Amino acid sequence: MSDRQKHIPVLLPTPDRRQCEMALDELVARNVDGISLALLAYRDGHPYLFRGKELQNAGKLAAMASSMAALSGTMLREIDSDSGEMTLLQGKKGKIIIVQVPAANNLMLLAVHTTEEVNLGLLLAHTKSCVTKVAASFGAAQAGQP
Amino acid sequence: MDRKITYKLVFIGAPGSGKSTCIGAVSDIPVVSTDVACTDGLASIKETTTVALDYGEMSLGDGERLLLYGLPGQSRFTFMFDTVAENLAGVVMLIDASSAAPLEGLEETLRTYAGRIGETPFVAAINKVQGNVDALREQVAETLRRHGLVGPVIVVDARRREDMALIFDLVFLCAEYSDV
Repeated sequence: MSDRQKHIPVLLPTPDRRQCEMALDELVARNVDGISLALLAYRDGHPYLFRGKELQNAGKLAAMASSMAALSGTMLREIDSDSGEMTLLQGKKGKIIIVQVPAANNLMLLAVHTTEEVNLGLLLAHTKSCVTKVAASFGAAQAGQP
Repeated sequence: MDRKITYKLVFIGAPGSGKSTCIGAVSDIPVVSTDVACTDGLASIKETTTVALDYGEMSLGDGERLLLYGLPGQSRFTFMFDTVAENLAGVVMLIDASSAAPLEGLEETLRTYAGRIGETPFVAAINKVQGNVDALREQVAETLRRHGLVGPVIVVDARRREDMALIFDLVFLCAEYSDV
């Protein structure tokens, strides 16, 4: 199965794309200064959509988010049987937060990149709000089906 | 805590070639796994796929240990190679003989890791074999030559510790007698 083939989800629930776009737009453009990028990806590393700064390779970032989330979850399970919900990376120039979207058996992840000055509490609150909207969009998409 | 001599071996290969199964079968410790349910066409072949790495360990006796890393088969995860590349003893390329197109899987692996495989001793291991695979073995060797690679091509049952030991011996032979 080549990566060169277009990603086509097989028999999986789909979110309402328009609602996802609105949720990411709101996160990146309106809510928090310093959020430079929001990327929604499938749990196995395929990109779905992103907002914010231009990406040379969204696919690579989606795959990295998937790997990081999986490694975090594996480490948490190793220590206390917990599963990972959120991964936070902090560097000198910024932060990356990766959050599972609590819908459709955690089908998707949201990765958000910020500059270094962003308030962590504010970032967490707005990211969780965005993820809740994305999760709700799954229900909207199913309700809209004939 | 004792500091044991360890050697790192990395398994690469197309999705479904047996990397996770192999590490799970020979590891002395519970395998660290990062599998998630597939969301693409791969789901028709298997339910889950590795998105970061599998990790296991195997004793070589005399306190020496083999550290086994299985990397995702899809090219979008190529960056994972760099996370395990330091002090690598060798690379095992698994080829799934039971696949409808084993050479396509090999080509994809060679494209994905172009420039990396040639830097490290490697063994091409044909796995999941049923019947005679002499022709496939020759085709694999030819494919490697076309990519400028020369290395042993062997047939294994990657679930067997004896075969793993053979792979390890070959990797060390390659390191000793090649220019790599």
